[in-house]
Amino acid sequence: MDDLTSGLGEAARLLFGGNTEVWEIIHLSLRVSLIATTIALVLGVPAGAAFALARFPGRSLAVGAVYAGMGLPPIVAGLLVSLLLWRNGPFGATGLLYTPLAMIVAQALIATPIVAGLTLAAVSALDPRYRLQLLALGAGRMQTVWWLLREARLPLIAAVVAGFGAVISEVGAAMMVGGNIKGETRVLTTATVLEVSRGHFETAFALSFVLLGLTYLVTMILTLLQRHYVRVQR
Amino acid sequence: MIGQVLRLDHVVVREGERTLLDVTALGIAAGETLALIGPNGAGKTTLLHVAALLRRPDHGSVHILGQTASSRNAATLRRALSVVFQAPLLFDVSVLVNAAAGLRFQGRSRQEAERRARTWLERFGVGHLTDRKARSLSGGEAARVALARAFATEPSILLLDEPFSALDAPTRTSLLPALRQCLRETGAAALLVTHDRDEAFAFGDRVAVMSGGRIVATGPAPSLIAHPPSREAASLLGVETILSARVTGIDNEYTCIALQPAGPSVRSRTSLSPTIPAGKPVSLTLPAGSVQVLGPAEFAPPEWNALPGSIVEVTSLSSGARLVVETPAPIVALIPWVASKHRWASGEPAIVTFPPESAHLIPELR
Repeated sequence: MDDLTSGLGEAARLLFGGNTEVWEIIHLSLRVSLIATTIALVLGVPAGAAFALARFPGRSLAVGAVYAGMGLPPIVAGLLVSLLLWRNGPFGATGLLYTPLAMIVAQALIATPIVAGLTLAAVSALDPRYRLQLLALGAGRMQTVWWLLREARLPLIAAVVAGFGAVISEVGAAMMVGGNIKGETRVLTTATVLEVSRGHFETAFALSFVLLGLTYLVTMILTLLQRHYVRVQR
Repeated sequence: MIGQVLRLDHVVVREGERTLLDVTALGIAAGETLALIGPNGAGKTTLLHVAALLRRPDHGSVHILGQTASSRNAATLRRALSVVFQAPLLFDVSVLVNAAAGLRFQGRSRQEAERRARTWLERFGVGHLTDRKARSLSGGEAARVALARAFATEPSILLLDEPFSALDAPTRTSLLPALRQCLRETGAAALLVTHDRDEAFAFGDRVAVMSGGRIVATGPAPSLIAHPPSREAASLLGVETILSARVTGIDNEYTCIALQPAGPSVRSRTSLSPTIPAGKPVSLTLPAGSVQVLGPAEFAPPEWNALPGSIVEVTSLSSGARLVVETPAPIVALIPWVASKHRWASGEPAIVTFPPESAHLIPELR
């Protein structure tokens, strides 16, 4: 309990005591996770909508794969990206391993099935007659998809939040493909793991509080954006 | 057919082994209103979806404005149609955005689309709701917005799938005339799918009756009710008196029948073939509105059928008293309140009387 309360004080000291390293870690954590979430959004939303609306042979298998991907362990995603970027791997020559870009790729791999799966579920849950109504109103294919996604925007915001939450809080992939290099690939989760391994529980708690606060802040911004959007549509 | 804006030719829709729809021919002329009635599962909605080019038939063809629909031109032809479903299906945006949606999909500018949408919202009495969120509307308001959205694209054909079924009676009563008025003014043809016979009779220039995926009767409502082509059609049209009988004789003017089993004799003006043998089984259909019920001491008009019996059931309806008289064959009469001299009670003796013209005979295929 002492560690917990002193962790709060330590968090304040780290943030406002002129410690630039923590701010760099926060900045990198946010940059990597937000870019990975954006990539997941760009890939996952159209993929989820397509799986929900299109009928093609093997659709059930594809849908099953998407849902299974939602439970992809970060360590497995990290391993896959590591194998690809390893010196002798197919993309070894790029020299991306242990860079923020490698972390973004791994985190996008984790978040994309989450966003796609939740989009699939959200669009599938819509009354199928809305699609018929759009077709009957003369909507083209893209217009139909856009209006249906707009109809499912509340669960879609939840998909973004879930995707962001998954990547900002994961540690396995970030550690494996980033290497937790000080000043280069150290993010809040890997830094917390390091502090625990050193026995610095106060600092570990401090970093955890920062991580929690950050997650809450981003989620709050997304919720406010969603409310604003709903108000504008009125 | 010349002048038909919508035509279905030999359309068959199957789902697995089940035939959902099997329509040999159905057409709607420009400006005509056709009401499609039938029980649940008759295939009404499937027919509407096929007509709206939302479902491709397994066999047969759909023609819109003289063009045969195909996957290539379906999107273009759909722009000549507007569909209003059972639920208003308004999107989670403002009323105005909803009403303008079809026009926006047609590529009209936002300004033009919203101007025209406003005009139609005004026409349906919901012009003051343009900025409201569609999901916050009452059922009646939402139905009006759905109709405004359908008319805003100025369709040649309006397809309505039980659009009033979820509404209360007063709202329905106020919307139906408004809809008919708009159809008259725009000259659009309309197909209304409904299970409400009164709504169908009030709406349609013609009525089509569906059962088991097939159309079993089409025609103007009064003529269909007076002369249903089959027992099934008569029953679906709400004719309650459908009795088995046998021909006892035919002369120039009348066909005489005996109601079965061992029932009284009735004269009908239905002209059956003179070669029809005596004893041939037929069905008698008798619209309730054409039957009068008299007291035992009263006299029926000359030439009318008059069958003595006793009242076995009295039901009060909004339009009048519904009486079932056992002659012993049960005959249903609907006596308008204004024409009712007696307060009929169950068990009272009475005379059922009706003109030979309203006693319609259908030869039975046995």
